[in-house]
Amino acid sequence: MLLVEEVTKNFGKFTALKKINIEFHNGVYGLLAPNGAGKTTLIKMLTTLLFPTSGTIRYEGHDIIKMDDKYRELIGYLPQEFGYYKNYSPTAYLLYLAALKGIDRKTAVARVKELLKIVALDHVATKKMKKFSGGMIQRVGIAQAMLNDPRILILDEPTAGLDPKERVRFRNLLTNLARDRIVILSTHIVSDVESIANEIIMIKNQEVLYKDTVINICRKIDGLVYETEVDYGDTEKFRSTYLTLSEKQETGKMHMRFLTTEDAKPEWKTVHPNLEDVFLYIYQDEVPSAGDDFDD
Amino acid sequence: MIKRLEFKKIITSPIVLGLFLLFLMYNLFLIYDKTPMKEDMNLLQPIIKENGTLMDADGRSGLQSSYEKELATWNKLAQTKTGDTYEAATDFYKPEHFHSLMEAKTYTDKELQAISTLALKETYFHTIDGIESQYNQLNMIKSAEEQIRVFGLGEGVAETVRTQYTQLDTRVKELITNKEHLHLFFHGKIYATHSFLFKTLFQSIIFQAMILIVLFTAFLVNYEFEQKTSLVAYSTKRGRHLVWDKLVVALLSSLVATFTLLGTTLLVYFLVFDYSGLWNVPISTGFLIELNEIPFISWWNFTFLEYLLLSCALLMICQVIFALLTFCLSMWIRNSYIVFTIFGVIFGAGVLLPGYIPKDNLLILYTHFSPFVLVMNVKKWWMESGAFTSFKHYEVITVSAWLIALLLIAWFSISRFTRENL
Repeated sequence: MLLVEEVTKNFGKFTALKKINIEFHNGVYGLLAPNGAGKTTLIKMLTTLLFPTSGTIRYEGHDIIKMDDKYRELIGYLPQEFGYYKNYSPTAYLLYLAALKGIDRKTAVARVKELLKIVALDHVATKKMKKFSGGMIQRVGIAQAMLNDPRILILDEPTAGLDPKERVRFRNLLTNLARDRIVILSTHIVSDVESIANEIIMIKNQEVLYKDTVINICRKIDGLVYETEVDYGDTEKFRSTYLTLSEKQETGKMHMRFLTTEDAKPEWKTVHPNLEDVFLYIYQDEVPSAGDDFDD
Repeated sequence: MIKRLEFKKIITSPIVLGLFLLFLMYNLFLIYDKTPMKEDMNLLQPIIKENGTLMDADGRSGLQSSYEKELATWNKLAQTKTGDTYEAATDFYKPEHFHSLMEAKTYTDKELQAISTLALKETYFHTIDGIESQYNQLNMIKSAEEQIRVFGLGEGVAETVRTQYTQLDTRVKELITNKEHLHLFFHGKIYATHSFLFKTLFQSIIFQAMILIVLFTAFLVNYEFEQKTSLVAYSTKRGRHLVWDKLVVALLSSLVATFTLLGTTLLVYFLVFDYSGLWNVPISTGFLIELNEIPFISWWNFTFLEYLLLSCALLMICQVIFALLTFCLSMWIRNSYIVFTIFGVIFGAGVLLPGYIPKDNLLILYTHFSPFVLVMNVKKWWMESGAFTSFKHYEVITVSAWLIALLLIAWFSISRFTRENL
């Protein structure tokens, strides 16, 4: 179990996270918040790249800072900005990182081969990465995070650059992995986590707002989400009156999905809220904060 | 394994490799440029084989009789050819008859070679008297007073200089008793080998190795930050301890680069110029004196070989100091180009700083105890080297103090890095 206890992180006078408490068990956790909310700060603390200003993070009861390499050998991490060496092949790069992860050469060679196959890069295993697409680089990043078969897999915006097919494959991979480990997936793309996360963690105003299942979180706005059709001419007025969640043109009218606490009108159709609706509702007044300068 | 992979980053850098080859070629060119004097220098070898290197009364008498015998033989030949006799071999080269003799092809090449060797033997023979008289008149106390006057040193500083030169005076007396100054060596006024080897070549190697070391140390330490892989690398099991590997690799690579550059250059130099028979000649011999007439007074009775090896060792230690300084800078500045520039500024400031200190402040002496000043005066290492640096243990104190200080700063920088937010 990974336990975040009363963790606060300040950057000078700016508070990025305030008294955060989270408990992680095996399974997929979706860390969902807009850019600048402190996701990367939390993740960097979970990977010991940042140190909490106050509070502790414990793994199986031990402070992860004191555990030092004993903790880091348990984690796999894909940062938001995944850097690579242009003139290295994925094999050479992964072997280098395997050495840093303390994996012996023989084991590393076999593991790298296996992982490159999993991320469908085995056909370019010895090609220099400078000619790789963004998606291919991201897959190298995913492979390196899994090199040491980590007990805690931490992925920051892992699907950036992946095409829809790769995204599906990646989600399936994570679901399989999460059976016997903690997978923390930070994203601002709701669809990345909606279908696979056992729990969603939402951060707002530097604090954990929700940590619950998708169903329970969606229940928070149950009965407030509707769909209706609006004439084109009334669209602007509708948008300014209600929180529009989505809209599309259909049969000469605008099909609006929206949220309101007003009493329902006869032409409105009540619908089940999804995670994206909650996200838009929670962060409707969110403007990029000073935290953007530090992370995300 | 990690260290091997870090080392690979250095040796696969095209800039490092390219510069290394360029520097090596430059050094070889410097040696090639000096090769015309090689044949003349080699004429010393038969003299040494015949008479040894020590030109005390016995050695000198042996050299004199050998010289006179050869001059007599030459005069016999000259008489049969032209009816001339020469009081000295160098008289043969007097322009009034030398050119006509050459045009008339009076002498064969072999005979010309013989008179050339004899003239050189004569030069060495006559130099001995000059050296002996110069060393007998050497007065280090007077030399100290002269420097105090020239530099306008204040009383506190002057007193320190006098103390050092008093010690040197004792050493000069010992040197004369040991007859260190009377050993044959390549004639300094003709070949200036000491300046070529320890100033031109060593100085070049020092700057070349320094450029390479500063470049690859800054490059290695900042590699992850500049390539944006720091988050991945420093969250691995090895984590921030990776900088220890980088420090070890940077130091070892500095030694390897310097050793290779120095070793290759010296190997070629000693293959081109024959030093056999001269390895055990004291470095304080008067034959090393060059056109400026300043004798080389070493603090200890070192042979040429010992002096060479000690200078090589000191040069390597200086490069370790430069690697450590670059490492410390790189731990605070995450851009290798800025590190390179700041290193250059520190080096320049280190060299120029003593010039801005008042001449009556002891700080003027302390600021000379820096590796930057040290490497600017290679040919006077372990010797009398002027008012500000003539301390018996100047070299050892300078490198020891800087090594200890930089090791502590490196340790502190690493400790800080382990607690730094990345």
